[in-house]
Amino acid sequence: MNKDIEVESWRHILQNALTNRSFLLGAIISGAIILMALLSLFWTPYDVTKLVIVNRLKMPSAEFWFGTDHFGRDIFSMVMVGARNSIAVALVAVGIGVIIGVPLGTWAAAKRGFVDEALMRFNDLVFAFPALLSAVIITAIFGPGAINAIIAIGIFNIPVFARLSRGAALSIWPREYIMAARVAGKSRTRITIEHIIPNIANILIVQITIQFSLGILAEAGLSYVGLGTQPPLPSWGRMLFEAQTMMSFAPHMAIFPGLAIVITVLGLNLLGDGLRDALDPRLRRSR
Amino acid sequence: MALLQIKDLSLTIGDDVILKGIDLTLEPGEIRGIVGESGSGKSMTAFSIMQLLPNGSDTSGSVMFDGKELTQASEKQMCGLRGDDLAMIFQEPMTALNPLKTIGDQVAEGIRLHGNVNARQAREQAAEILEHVGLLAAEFPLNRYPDQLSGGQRQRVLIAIACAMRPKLLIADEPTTALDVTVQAKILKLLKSLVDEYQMGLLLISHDLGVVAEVADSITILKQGKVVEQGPTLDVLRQQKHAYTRQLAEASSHQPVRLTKPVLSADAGDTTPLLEVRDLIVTYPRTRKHLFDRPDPLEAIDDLSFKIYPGQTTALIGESGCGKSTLARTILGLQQPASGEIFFSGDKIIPGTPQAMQQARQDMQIVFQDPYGSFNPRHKVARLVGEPLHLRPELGKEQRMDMVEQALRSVGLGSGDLDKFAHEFSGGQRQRIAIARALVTQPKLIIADEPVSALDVSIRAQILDLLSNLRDAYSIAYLFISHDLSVVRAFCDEVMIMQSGKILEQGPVDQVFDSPEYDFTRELLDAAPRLDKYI
Repeated sequence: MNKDIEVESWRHILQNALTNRSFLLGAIISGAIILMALLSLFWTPYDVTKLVIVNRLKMPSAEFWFGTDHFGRDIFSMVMVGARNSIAVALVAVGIGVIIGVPLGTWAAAKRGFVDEALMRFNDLVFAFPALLSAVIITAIFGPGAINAIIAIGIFNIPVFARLSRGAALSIWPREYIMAARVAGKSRTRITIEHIIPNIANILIVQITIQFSLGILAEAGLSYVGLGTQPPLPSWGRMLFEAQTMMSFAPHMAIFPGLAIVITVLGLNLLGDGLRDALDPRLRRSR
Repeated sequence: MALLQIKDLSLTIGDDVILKGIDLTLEPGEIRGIVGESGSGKSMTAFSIMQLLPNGSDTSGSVMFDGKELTQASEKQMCGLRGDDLAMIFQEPMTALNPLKTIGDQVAEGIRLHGNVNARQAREQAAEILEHVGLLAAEFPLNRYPDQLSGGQRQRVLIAIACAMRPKLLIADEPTTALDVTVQAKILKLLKSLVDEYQMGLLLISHDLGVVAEVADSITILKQGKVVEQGPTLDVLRQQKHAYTRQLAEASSHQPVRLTKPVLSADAGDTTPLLEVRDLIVTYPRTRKHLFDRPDPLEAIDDLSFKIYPGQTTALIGESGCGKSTLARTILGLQQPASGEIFFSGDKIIPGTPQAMQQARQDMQIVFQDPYGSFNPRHKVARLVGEPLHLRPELGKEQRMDMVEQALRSVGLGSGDLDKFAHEFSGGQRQRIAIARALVTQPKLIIADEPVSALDVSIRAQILDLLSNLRDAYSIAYLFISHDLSVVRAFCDEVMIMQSGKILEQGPVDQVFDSPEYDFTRELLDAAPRLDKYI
């Protein structure tokens, strides 16, 4: 019965997810990166702010797993700390998108009419600018730094979540249980909180993982052009930038932060794909 | 030799046994009705013949069609048969047509595939067959798109597609269930005439004994994948040898007992009406044709007035699109009227203050048609049923729980069900939960929007009994929206016949049904299939 599709419980969804290969692989990769980032809060093999010139440009070895950079800093330690920065920036940026975008989108869906039109046209306006380019403009105006990078990336997550949650909410509003809630005299806000958001949460979760990986890419991009995380804190993007001039004789300086970005984004995308399959039974059955 | 001979057909899908040894024969020119409740295997029998079964199904037994064994046929052989000698039409004419192709193309497609003709000939044949099923070329040229047609017209297009190659066997799976009664009568007549003309066999799958009694020569009654009884329609329905046949027939013409006296408006005197609607007009904006277009609004409800007295059950009958549901939404305050007034127990609620509406809402609840869509899938029964208690914030948590439990008990469910999700219940039980939700604030008026039309007949009878008992016990008034005239006759005190946003006539049920004033009412009454004519 296709009518029973939408009533899957969260436990059921989790069971589906756990039997899904890309979800599992994505979860393992993302989990490992997050663990590494958390670990860097307490311990790294070497201090990343200390310059030891004698150790400069060492190749990967048992002593320095990923080698060292031109200031003698341990690249493995820097990748660990960089993970922390990337995740923090992406997390907060997605958080801004969700916390502002979802209420805006569900509000537009609940109100319709002028509010809806105005919000969505404004969304279109924000969407019309290439996100990364505008982030560059914002950080260029307000000055480089992690906080401004977060704000810049966050602003471009708002319309993504607003549009998505509006569309999903619009498909829930005409349902009869919403009618029943309105007959029970509940306000639009209350209906949105009690009925709409729990029923669009699955779609939002998938989008969160995707935006999260895009956030990590954006942070790396901003740091690469020097507008993201500032020295002495290491960041994957700036490590790539610094490695650029030394590619011919110290390729490890570029390879490891590059790999870190690729693996993290891959892991998050796999996680998102797996979640989407687990949450959308039609896709699952056709596979 | 029989056109179709099914012998000992069994089907399992995964671990579920769907069909258990079905035997069935069909002669050319015969209409055989297959009747059963949901889950009886009616549709799966059809899909077994077409070999369109879902993955993981396992069949045994034999399906002989026109001298060919279909269970052994390859997919390629089946593709040659489907749409040529074997054709099928479905319940939902709205989704069975491709919205991006013209009706002419869709009919011609099958003719080209099987007919060995060129595109021009195929279009000529398509035009012929469309004319034959009643879509005259002058009115319905081939380049019409499905969205420009009504439900009945789309079903005619589907019949044209199915019959274009003059199939030997046509399977119709609930072909008229989604249609209005007057349209249903016309479609059934068309099918019957096509069967006579082409001498094809027709398997008419239906849940409605009345429909089958009207057109079928023979009948097969299925229950849980088994044939309960079969034979010539009238013999089976009149003799009712099997207990299940009797049960189905009784449930189909079930009359709930009304213990209290019917409430008639004529006897009301100066009692304050519970609900009074005065000169109500509701409009919808039409879509703009261009930027500066100011189209006249569409009048969904056009100057409508009526009264419902306390404890009265008033039926609202009309065809789809006549404004029945819009009226319900307007009374509940979910839709703003363009003009007019609505009074509840003498208080003006529309137009009125939000407080007045909120007050009236405690006494006014709704039960919907679809027992699947009317619950938030993520909430448990306790929360679902308790939702309207939001209107009474003065109640404590325990009082709320008491009221929820009481409402559940009065619909025949227990406190053990409080902690379950809606999807753990059957369709009939869900409708009970929906009624419990409507009852929990102890309302004086329940608007029931087709509350039994999505249910199997035996469950329909139970729910009607329940609604009737509740009416006796709590003297609830109902606004009972329905297209099913037999249910209305059995259940309601008064009836309003609605056509294009207006009330055509109203009065006590017997009066309107026995001596209708308008042709439209008479047509509606004549078109409704009546089982009692045949038993």
